[in-house]
Amino acid sequence: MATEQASSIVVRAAPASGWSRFPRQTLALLRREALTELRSRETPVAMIVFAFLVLLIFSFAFDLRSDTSPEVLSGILWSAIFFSAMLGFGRGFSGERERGTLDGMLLAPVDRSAIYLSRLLSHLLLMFIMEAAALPAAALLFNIPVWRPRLLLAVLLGTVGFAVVGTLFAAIAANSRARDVLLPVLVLPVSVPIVIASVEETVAALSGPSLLPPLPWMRLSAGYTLLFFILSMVLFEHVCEE
Amino acid sequence: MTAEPPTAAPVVASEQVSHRFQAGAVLRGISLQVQVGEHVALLGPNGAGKTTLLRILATLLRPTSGQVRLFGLDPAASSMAIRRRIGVVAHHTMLYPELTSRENLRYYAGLYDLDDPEPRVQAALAEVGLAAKANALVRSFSRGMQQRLSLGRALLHEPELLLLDEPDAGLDARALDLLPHTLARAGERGAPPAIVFTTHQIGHAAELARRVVVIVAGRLVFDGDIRSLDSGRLAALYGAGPGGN
Repeated sequence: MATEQASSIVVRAAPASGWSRFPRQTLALLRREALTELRSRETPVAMIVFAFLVLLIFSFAFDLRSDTSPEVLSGILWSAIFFSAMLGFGRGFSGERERGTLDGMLLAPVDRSAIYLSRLLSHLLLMFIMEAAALPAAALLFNIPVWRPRLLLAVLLGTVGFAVVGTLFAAIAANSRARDVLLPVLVLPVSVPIVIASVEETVAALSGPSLLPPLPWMRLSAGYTLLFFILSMVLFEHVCEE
Repeated sequence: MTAEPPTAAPVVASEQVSHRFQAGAVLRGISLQVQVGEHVALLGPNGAGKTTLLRILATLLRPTSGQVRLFGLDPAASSMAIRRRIGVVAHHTMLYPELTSRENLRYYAGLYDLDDPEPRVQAALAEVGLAAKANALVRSFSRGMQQRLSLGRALLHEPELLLLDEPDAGLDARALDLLPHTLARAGERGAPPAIVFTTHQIGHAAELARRVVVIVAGRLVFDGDIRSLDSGRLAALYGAGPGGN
């Protein structure tokens, strides 16, 4: 049809332009996510407990001493962060789909990238809360100097990168019946560059006193994260389709 | 508020719409038109394809073949403009149990980017008889109360097309009485919305609509006045289709 016709006599709400609507809708989504998580507390508590258990199991398994290599300590720390983050990713979109509330979002005139962005921010918030508990636990169990700025920068970069990738694949996995199995199968291989860069940055942070992170790894992590973020914002519309 | 010139375009115009899932075809060549303010009941046995048709009309699904136009617009090209004008009540209430009824409606008012949402939220709660429960958590609500709040959610942005998937399911007697009144009041505020709803009860269909469409095994087998359809003829239609029971 060459021309689009509108049938109604009265348009009951004047639509705001997409650009002015986007931040308000993203904020509405984020506010609701924060409120539901705050009230239920299920996901952050599960993530914290899981991260703590991973650290505890490694501490028993390796009988770690003060002279344990930074490579091993870095691997343990990131195993705890990545695996407990998967727990958070798995509950977000899947829970919305099971409860039918995902349809509520998709039925509304909301830009799909606003849904992605709000969920990404929510995942980041959950990961930061988990890390705020896991890092002191790691310091106690493994004598890791977690408060070094260089280490915190490595954790920040790795967290953002993993959340960017994980949020996209959590939405894809939520469309499948085998979502619990599919999510780690999708996320972990694609996150390998983030995992390697995060581990290497952390090794460097634990090894030396320098405040500067190893630039090539930092560039890899930041570049990969930015690329995936742009791809996710563009592709999310198609990810949401049944 | 802006006004658009009235046109003859129907609210819903589907032409030879078919849909297929992995398990097989669910809809087979459905052609249907719904005019402004018209109420249409969709009847059919379980698995007939009623919900799939509603999901296509709600822009949640794209048909495998055929064409759908809503308000004269192509859903693939104008999904945002269409979604703004549609309200949906489905099997799931689309409500968050951890939030109060007011918080739930405020959230949806935010998604629809409504100006000055608080009076609308209050009015919607009053319309579905839940004003006194505005600050109660939805998890404490009965199924019937949740379904009423879901109706309030769907009416919040004053849609021009209401799609109701078994709105009578889980409703108690009071809520069942409330349903036609709430829908009638929704029409009093402005141009009355067109309503397409599914039900298994021919009696409930007659309360809300004059026109009935019967779908059996994905095919439209009847489209006409509900007065010409009694339970005996309906049973015969159900039995006549390949998936009839």
